[in-house]
Amino acid sequence: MTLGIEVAGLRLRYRDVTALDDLSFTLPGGRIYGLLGRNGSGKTSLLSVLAGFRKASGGTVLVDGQPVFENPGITRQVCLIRETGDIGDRDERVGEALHTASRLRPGWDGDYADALVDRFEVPRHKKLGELSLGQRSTLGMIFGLAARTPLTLFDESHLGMDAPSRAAFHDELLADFMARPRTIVVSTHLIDELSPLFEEVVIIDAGRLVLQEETEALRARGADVTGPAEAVDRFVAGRTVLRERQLGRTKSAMVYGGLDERHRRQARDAGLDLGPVALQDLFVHLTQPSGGPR
Amino acid sequence: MSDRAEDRTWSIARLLLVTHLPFLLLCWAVFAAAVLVVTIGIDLRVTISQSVWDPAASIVRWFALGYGLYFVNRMLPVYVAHGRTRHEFLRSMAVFLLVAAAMVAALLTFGLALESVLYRLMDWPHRIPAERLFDSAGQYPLVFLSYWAMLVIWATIGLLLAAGFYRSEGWELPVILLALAMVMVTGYGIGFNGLPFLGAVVDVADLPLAGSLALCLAGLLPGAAATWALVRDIPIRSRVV
Repeated sequence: MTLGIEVAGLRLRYRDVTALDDLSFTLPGGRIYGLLGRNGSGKTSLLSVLAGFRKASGGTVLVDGQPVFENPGITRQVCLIRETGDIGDRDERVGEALHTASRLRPGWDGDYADALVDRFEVPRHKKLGELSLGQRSTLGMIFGLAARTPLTLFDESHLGMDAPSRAAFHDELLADFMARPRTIVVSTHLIDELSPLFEEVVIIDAGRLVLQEETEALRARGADVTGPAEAVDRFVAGRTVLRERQLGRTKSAMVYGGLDERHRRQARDAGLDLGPVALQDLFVHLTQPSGGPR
Repeated sequence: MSDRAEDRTWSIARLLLVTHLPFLLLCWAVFAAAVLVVTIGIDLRVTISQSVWDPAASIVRWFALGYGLYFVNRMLPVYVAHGRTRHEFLRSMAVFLLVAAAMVAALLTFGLALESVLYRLMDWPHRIPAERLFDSAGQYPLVFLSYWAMLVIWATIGLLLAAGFYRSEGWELPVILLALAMVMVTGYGIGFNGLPFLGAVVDVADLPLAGSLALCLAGLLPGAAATWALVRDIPIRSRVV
């Protein structure tokens, strides 16, 4: 089962601060979405509203066509794993927290949770407050996967996890998604590391939607041009350059703006190689204040 | 999928009762042992002239207050994170508090009765503080009702204070004032109104039972209503475990 999300005119204010400002988008169910934004852009606020952790100040948030806030029929089907961990009390032991989840989550897969706890070597006897940041994050990811909710939201949930653990979890996330398709939204700053998972990307900045696009289409908005420095300089002249690197006489420049077939032929004729653009560089370009790179 | 999973509204109340009632029973056993030790200690120094259990039982209200604080501060975010609504939490909390307070009140009543037997065997006078609704340990319904009301009221005060402070937004002072009003009004009704450094806030008069109950409700209901109003849309903030 998968759940779609419809957000229209969403506003969220904390006293004098506007965290989300007239945000609107629709996410069809059954896909893995990347939610990207700079610090303070409103990612956590958005996910908190989607999970019913916070009440919107205005606008509508519908999951499966129904309001989320204080709607038990929907909140049961949504799981938000935040970076700081709300999965249990700090004085609870890991085993007790797993037991609590098994009693409260209708779709909880206890065998799967146990297998992941063993595989990632999370100590069951330790209190949550005694776990390292990486262990807490790992446990949070386990809760997110084992809850088996049709809508699962991860908010910077991998903080403190080492690279091998993150890689293993990303593989597990993808494998579990393939076996049991659902809607997953992942908020992260590790854009290039996680981008292979994303089918679609939502970028927000200052509480507003910057873009929502399929990952491949987004990547096609730019190109990495590599070749002799003079030829690269001639080719990118007049274009928006996101990043440049030079080693000896070979230069690489990342340009923003789609290249049609004529431009691609020109590049090939000039002895230049064209590669896909890194999502992170596009993200930096799209969210930087005006006056960025040429 | 787990066959133990329960997708019903009262799963929180069941979980709390199953988890906490054995713990409360254990606490009572420790409490009873401590009161016995204190009683023996007093007897070694002076002549015992009144119940030790009853004043000690009145201290349990601070434990109830702590329970209320704990549930909103620490457990509400966990239950919301596991897909439960605030409404479900509050309803389940009400059921849990009424049942748990009844169990603890019954244990306290039982303890007072045991103490009265001990005092009779030792030929000690078993006097009860004058401000209580009951005069002797043998008035079981009144003893139970007093302790039960005390626990429910103080746990509600804990919930209220925690809700105000968790929510913040300037609610801290209003909930403190409302909590003090609850202590005074309900204390006048059930005779448990002492505060640290202040002693008894009011002098308890000889009210009829109906008047006492009315005062308890007059203090409890606004506090419960304020708690509900504060929690029903309380934001669940990020926190560090």
